[in-house]
Amino acid sequence: MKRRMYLSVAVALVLMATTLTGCVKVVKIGEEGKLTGKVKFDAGESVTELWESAQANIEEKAVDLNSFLKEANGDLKSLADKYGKYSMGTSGSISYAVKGTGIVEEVNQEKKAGYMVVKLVGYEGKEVIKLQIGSIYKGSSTRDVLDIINFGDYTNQEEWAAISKELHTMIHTNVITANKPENLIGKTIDFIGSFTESGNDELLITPIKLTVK
Amino acid sequence: MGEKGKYAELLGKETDTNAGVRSAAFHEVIDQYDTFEMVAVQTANWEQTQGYEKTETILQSNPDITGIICGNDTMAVGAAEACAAAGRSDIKIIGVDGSDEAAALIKEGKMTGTALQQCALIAEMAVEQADKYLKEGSTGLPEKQLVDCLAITADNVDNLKAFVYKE
Repeated sequence: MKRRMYLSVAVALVLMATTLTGCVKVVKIGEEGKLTGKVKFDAGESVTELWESAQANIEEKAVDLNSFLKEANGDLKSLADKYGKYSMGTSGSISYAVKGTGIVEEVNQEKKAGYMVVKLVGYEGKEVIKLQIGSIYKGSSTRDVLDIINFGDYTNQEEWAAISKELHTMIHTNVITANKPENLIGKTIDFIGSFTESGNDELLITPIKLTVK
Repeated sequence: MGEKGKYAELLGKETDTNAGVRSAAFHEVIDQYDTFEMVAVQTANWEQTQGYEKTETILQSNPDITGIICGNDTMAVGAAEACAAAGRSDIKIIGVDGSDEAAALIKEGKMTGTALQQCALIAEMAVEQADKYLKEGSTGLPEKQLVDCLAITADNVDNLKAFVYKE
């Protein structure tokens, strides 16, 4: 009886030594993702992947700015439900996708948050239309106006913020610098972009497409 | 400060994730400017008294700063008092939270701004969604929801009271 017990203990020990240690998997630092499926977040990579669809998304939903401003009649919030996208579903700040044609009246690159002032062709309203030209971009209207991504797709607000920042990097390189804003004064441009409503006097548009005529 | 100058940072309790998150968010914007230079960073553990004392010390060793960023309003209030005591009305002080104390200092011009965490709204949303969940079995809303922070400055501070912003 005793011998039998010893034997079973011995068998158990052998089993533990072979099978249990067999379960231990050594994961090298930096390779955790292979096991957990959670890959380290790279905002630059994410934005590179979604860039073209982001441009298409904004282009598709962009409202003609002339008719938009006429319809708003001095109250930019009034068109929220019709054309805008709220930051918090049904409340919060409102971002709009817009497009238009204008003449560049001023190019300000003294500030790092640079901009150009554009006179919309065929519009005589009092609103000041500015297009951001960086290198620093204010707000996050490009990200916020998109329908193809949601906050819920990302782990936390830091990743969400990084997406906006990388979109701006992409815009600066591909949309702004590529069109040499310093030479645009007096030129007519077609633009597609987005802005977040902030009062009725000024629109600060972040372009996602620019065409110099 | 315009787009340039030296500044200091008061961090929250460093073992608290929020201290890091808020600091990272500040720097995500500020660090895009190579014209801003952070000359001092100290933790004041979210506290007003420490905010005051750390600011006093920072002002002695770095009298040329023109801005202080703070991880919460409590530390910002301490910083604002220290700056006022030193006769430094030129220093721009920014906090986070949107407390009534900060709002009062913004009105007086002793603080430049804060970021309102809409905690009253968050509480309201939580109760409404819990109620809906219990009654209907679903909130009908995504699990993760973003609630905007609002930038509070002298221009809109009058709309803020007890963490509630009403236009």
